[in-house]
Amino acid sequence: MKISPAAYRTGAATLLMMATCTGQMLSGTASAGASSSTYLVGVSEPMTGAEAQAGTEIWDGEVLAANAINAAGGVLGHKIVLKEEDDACDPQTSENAANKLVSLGVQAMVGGYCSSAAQPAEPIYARAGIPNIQVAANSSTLTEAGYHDVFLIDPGGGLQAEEAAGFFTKVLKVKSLLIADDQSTYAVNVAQLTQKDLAGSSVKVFAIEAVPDTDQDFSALINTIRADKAGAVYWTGYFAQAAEFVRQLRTDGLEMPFVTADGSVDPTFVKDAGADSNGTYATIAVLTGFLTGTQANAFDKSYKAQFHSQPGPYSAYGYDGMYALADAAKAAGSLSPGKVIAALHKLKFHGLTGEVSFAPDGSRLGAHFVVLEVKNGQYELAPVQPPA
Amino acid sequence: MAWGVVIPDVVAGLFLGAFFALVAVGYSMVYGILRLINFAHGDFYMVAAFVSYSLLAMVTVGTHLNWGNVIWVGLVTMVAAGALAVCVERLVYRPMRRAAVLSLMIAALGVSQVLENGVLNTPGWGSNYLAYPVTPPSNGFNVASVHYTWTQLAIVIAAAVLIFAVYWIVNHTMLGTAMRAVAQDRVAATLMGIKTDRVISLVFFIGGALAGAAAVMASLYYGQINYLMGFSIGLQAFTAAVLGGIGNVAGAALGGLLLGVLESVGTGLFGSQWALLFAFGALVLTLWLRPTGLLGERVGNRV
Amino acid sequence: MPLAPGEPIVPSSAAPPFQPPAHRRLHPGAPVAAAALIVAVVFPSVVQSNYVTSVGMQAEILMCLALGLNFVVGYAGMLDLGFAAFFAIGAYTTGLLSVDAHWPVLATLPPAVLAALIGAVFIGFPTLRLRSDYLAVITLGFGEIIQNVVNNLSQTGGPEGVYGIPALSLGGFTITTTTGYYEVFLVLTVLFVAANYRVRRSRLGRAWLSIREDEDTAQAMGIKVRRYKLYAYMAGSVLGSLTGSLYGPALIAIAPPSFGFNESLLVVMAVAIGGMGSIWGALLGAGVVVAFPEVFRQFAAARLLVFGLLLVVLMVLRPKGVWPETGLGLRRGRRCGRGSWASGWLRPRRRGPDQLVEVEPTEGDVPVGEEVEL
Repeated sequence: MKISPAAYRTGAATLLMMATCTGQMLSGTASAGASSSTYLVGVSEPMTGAEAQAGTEIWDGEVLAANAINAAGGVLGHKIVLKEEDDACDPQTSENAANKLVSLGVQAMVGGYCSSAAQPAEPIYARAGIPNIQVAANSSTLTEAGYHDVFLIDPGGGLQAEEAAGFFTKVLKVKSLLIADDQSTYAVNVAQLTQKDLAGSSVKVFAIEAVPDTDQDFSALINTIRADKAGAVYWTGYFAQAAEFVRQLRTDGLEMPFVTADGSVDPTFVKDAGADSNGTYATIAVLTGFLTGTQANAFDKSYKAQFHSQPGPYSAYGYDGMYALADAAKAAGSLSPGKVIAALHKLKFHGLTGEVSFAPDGSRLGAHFVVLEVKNGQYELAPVQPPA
Repeated sequence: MAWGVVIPDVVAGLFLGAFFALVAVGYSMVYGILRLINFAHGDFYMVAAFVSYSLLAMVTVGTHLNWGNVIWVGLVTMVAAGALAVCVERLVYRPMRRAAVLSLMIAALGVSQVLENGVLNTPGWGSNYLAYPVTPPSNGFNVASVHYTWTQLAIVIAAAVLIFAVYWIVNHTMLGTAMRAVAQDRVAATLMGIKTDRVISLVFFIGGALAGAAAVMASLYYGQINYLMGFSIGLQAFTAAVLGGIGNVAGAALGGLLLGVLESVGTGLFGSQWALLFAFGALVLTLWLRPTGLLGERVGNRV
Repeated sequence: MPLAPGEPIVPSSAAPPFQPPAHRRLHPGAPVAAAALIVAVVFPSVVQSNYVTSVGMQAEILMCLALGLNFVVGYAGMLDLGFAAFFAIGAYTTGLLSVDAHWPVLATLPPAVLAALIGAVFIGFPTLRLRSDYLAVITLGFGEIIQNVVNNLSQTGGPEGVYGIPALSLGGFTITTTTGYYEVFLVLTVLFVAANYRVRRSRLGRAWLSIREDEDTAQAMGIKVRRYKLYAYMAGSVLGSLTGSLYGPALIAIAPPSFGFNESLLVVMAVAIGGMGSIWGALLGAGVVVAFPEVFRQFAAARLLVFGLLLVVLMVLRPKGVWPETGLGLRRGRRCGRGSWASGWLRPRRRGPDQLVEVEPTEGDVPVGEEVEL
């Protein structure tokens, strides 16, 4: 059988292309690896896609922390070097990002926003034996899988739901509540747990409304809220839709209390909702940025100085995640991943999001939730807090 | 299921549908003349929103809404969006005139990626949800305890005027006849002396301009823009255009309004997560019963 | 032109639907195919990188999907914008049965295929008589409906999806590594290539090709067009759902965002970039679509911008795809007198009864007939 010249050329061209692609993908594996004087830390976060803004916040928070740590001498004399990879909040892309980071020789991963993207990446970091510190992803499925190197900085929905339930029953004392989420794992989690906590209480909870995260128009939902005469609204999704929601709600003349979960606590919410953001509430794990204190103000100031924008909710989690890693390495006296993981399990420090320590399965302990209120375009501690 | 909300939902749906209709008319016209499903159309809308954002940010002091500013920024944006559409047509679609429809579609997808990620990587724009520089006033009137603003009314009227203008151009002017001729049979139109290239460019311009108008209005009303906002509306506009009968201005407008109503009523009756399903289900049903869409021409199969 | 016994006689203006030249080209290409296969099998061990192997596995998954879509778009000429629906059906059936009902993965394959076939018949039956562009919207709608349903129902895990899907076990072997699944999908790809190749040369394939070329003539020649279109859709659904069934064990978790319009577009892109109707084209296109965004990671947030630019340039310069049915175009000179057998999608829309077939050179080496109306 004759092999035509065209077939030869095709074969050669394909082979060449495969080799180039492979070479390109493998590049940097050896050279960008950890040198003896740096501590290479991977950051997998959404750089593209609908969650890109949250990804930027996480990155900025970590950069701020890393700079501060390096300025103070680094981790055991080693300067932290961060390597960013896009996970696009997509399981396949996240897997590739994880594999890429591991092949680059990172000694830890601090990052992660979407739980669904974090799941397939877990075994990859576990096989590499490096700490997998998830700063924002907090689905319980992440800790249920049994990987010993997973640590969640963001507390699960349970504590937040408790706080919200207490707020609606004891402080606002409303008769009925409409809960809405944006179909993301995290929001659904908080919504369902809040509904469960309020079962049997004096607050009647309507069926949870799941709003697709691309929806901009809430008029139909608002019509339903008006018809149901809901006493309050609890939005567990993110800030962009929260701003739309409250704007349209107020334009339609509905003035019931509007409470959001911590995913909506973001300067963008205040900016986009404008005057309508005043008087809204939010449940959130303590961010010292909202309390007075030198640590709080210092964070706020240096963040604004470096990034020219206010920190978002995930900036603080990124910051705490970075510090958790650094403090654990210092406590272990070594950068070796195994020892750092062991030290992380025993870690306890006071971060921006409250006291940071981890349960044996890696979930976050020590977080303390409060209710905030927006006054004059600023987040402040609400005057009346639900009882502990 | 709350049946009492159906009427307010229908009205809300008509308002939402006005935006769909504006974008759908552009989609439909481009399809009619080139048989191209232009996936980049939603991104013309998105780029227009960002351009108008930057223009308004430059001329607005504080958040004071100056209607004069809004109007001239709107007009400039329409022209800019139209120009962008023409550019894309000249650079990408014209060289591919003879290519398979599927290849054109993929090229359109490529253009969409370029536009979206171009905006993502432009300093000053980026991935953030940007707040529109001006907020329209919320004073208005009440009908059956539902509050409607004058701004909403103005938007609906403006959209209706624009669509009617396009309808009139397409059906009652020489230019429109030329457009319809090119859509029907490009080769014959060339033989008749019509400058088909120019006509096609003009159709793209009009489509882009309409998307630009819709962008300014929607940004004004919803107050927020994001680099991925074009995807959702593009998909819905395309669905609306097909629902109403593609290639047909009145059909696209009707399809847009109908889709808006279906989504709103679907939300009210079944919950927000089922709204899109409800709308698509209605689409499938409509096409099953009326295969060319609601106002589509009954095109017989000539052998 | 010689006709084999039993072949339908078609008028000269339509394409002879048998012995497509690709047949003659693949035979000399068989050693190349064998060599490529050997390279593919040893690829992970040579490269020694989990990352590259993982990308390779994803490329294979897309290849399998593209080969499934090839039945629908490439052979039968129907534009399907919702192919991810079958991918989802396969993935979720396997996921739910293996996690909730503890079936072994292999046992879930038949029910998954059955579910996909039912879906194909359900959506295909009332809609396949539509004009091709309307069909595109319907299939798009079907894809969105499926994604919406699995996203909203708590039985399918809602937005979180299905987690903890057990590994695939074949005989005594349980496959847990990326390399393992790479090889599994390689086997699947080879099987699908073989299926494509065989079907193309069978009566079914010839019926599809003739439908693609000229539906009305095919109908006039006695081919039950609607039924064969449905078969194409069903064949595609089988391949799509098999791919989906093995996707779950490979990734351990599946979630709704992976099964939407974006995924359907990726498959369509792979087929279109590679070259419609051609097997090598499908493989090449899938490789490009998966590998390039990864290769472009060096551009950080601009990597999709670069990918988009590449896509546009590629389509403008080579609209038929890199390796279409008509061949790579590497050979100089023209073949004449063949008339148009290129895909219906590669021809401008026909209008009117009076047609003149004109042969004119194009940038490829094979002339594409273009009709001119009088």
